[in-house]
Amino acid sequence: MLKKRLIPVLLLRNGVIVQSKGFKRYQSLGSPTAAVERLSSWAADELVYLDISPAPVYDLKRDDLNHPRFETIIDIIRLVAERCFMPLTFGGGIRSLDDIRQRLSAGADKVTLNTKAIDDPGFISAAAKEFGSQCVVVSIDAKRVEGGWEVYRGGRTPAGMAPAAWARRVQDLGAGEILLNSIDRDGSGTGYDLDLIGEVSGAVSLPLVALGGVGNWEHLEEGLRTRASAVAAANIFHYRENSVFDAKRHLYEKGHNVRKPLPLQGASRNL
Amino acid sequence: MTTGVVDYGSGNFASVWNAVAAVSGDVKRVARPEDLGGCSHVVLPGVGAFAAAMRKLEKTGILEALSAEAAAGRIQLLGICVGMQVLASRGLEFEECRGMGLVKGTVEAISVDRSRFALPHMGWNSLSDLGAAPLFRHMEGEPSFYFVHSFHLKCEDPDARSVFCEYGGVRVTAAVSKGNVHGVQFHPEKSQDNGLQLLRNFIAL
Repeated sequence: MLKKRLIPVLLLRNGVIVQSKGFKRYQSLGSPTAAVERLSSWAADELVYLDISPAPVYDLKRDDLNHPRFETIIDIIRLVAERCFMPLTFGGGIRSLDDIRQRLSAGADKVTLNTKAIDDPGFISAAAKEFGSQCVVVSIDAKRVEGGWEVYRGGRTPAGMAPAAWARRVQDLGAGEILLNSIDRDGSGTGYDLDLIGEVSGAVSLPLVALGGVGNWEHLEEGLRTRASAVAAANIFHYRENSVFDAKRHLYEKGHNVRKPLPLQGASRNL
Repeated sequence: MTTGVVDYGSGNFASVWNAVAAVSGDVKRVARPEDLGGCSHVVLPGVGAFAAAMRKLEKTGILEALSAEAAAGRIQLLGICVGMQVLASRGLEFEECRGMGLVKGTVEAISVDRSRFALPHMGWNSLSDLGAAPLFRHMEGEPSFYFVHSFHLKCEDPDARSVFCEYGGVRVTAAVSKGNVHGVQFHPEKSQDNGLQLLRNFIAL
């Protein structure tokens, strides 16, 4: 039986992992790879890594952080892929088919498109044709407005579209999955925007990953009761050790259709 | 006991290499037919379409040598995803195409109701009725693996044994073994502990 997925999301901003609140405020959490080590227990079903750097600067030029030096997002993908035997999705800064090719050959399994998809919807089709729909995820950032929601470009500027209509369009264009994020709930810890998930998942047959607002494990359960195929969260997984394992165990013990979590063992996970 | 990983331009070579290297100290890149020399085990990765994979394998010259070594029982062979599919007699993706013919069968689209179930079949799915299949030793219950595919191998070989998962009411072929020839439709290199265990089991054959 196909399982529902639990997905930790890492946000990278100018070389450090950050927590985000409302797409506006960012708190630094440390090195790009230490966080991967913390989150990539056997309990995570997939890892989403989003680069939200305003400019492509990754090397902190600091040796005191005790992490491997890297200069590009490709270096980071390669490091993560070497140690992380699960599906990896990378997003941020993708503007060309060559950007996708580089990320996939460095070890990513999927990429997410946001700004480029809005500016040039035909790019979704081109990417799906070249690499297969299964590796093209379109991320949709939605914000509540009078009478519904609006899609935001890069999380910042209104794109003049409703998320359900945009989701249908990206499905028709050949996307393989939708990562739906609520700007209002981002960093709020008040739970998913369940109405938004219902609205968008009802409009498409594509798998949908819900993101934005998880403040406790019950919020993940609420997400699993919707038509979403996967529940994702970012900030909450940073607060304590073994958080992904604890979350997964909670969902498994409550009888949700998820993979049984196993504590970390075997191969070294040091990054 | 050298394990070769075939590099013929398949997109998942790096991931498969990383996973095999994590469980074995003796891994070798196989990019030309002569690289097969000294390999007791060979892993054949693969993503993309059936015919494209066959063409690439032919172009490197590995196809013929690999088929001969496997047919003669001189190596243990493990095909992954499209690397499994090309073990079959033929594939029907986009165009009918001959496969390596090591396992009698046809690679065809998963026949789910497309209005209700999306293709590709993507995500973690559990396998049942493993019996004593050697590739699945040391795994508890119904182990889950990571799948991404729209086609699967319908085996018609009386000497082969298949393992299945279920998707949209369809029995989907997840693994096949026939003597020294094995294939898995899922991605062990992306299936965490179960995936690494499967690779360990393969190398122990």
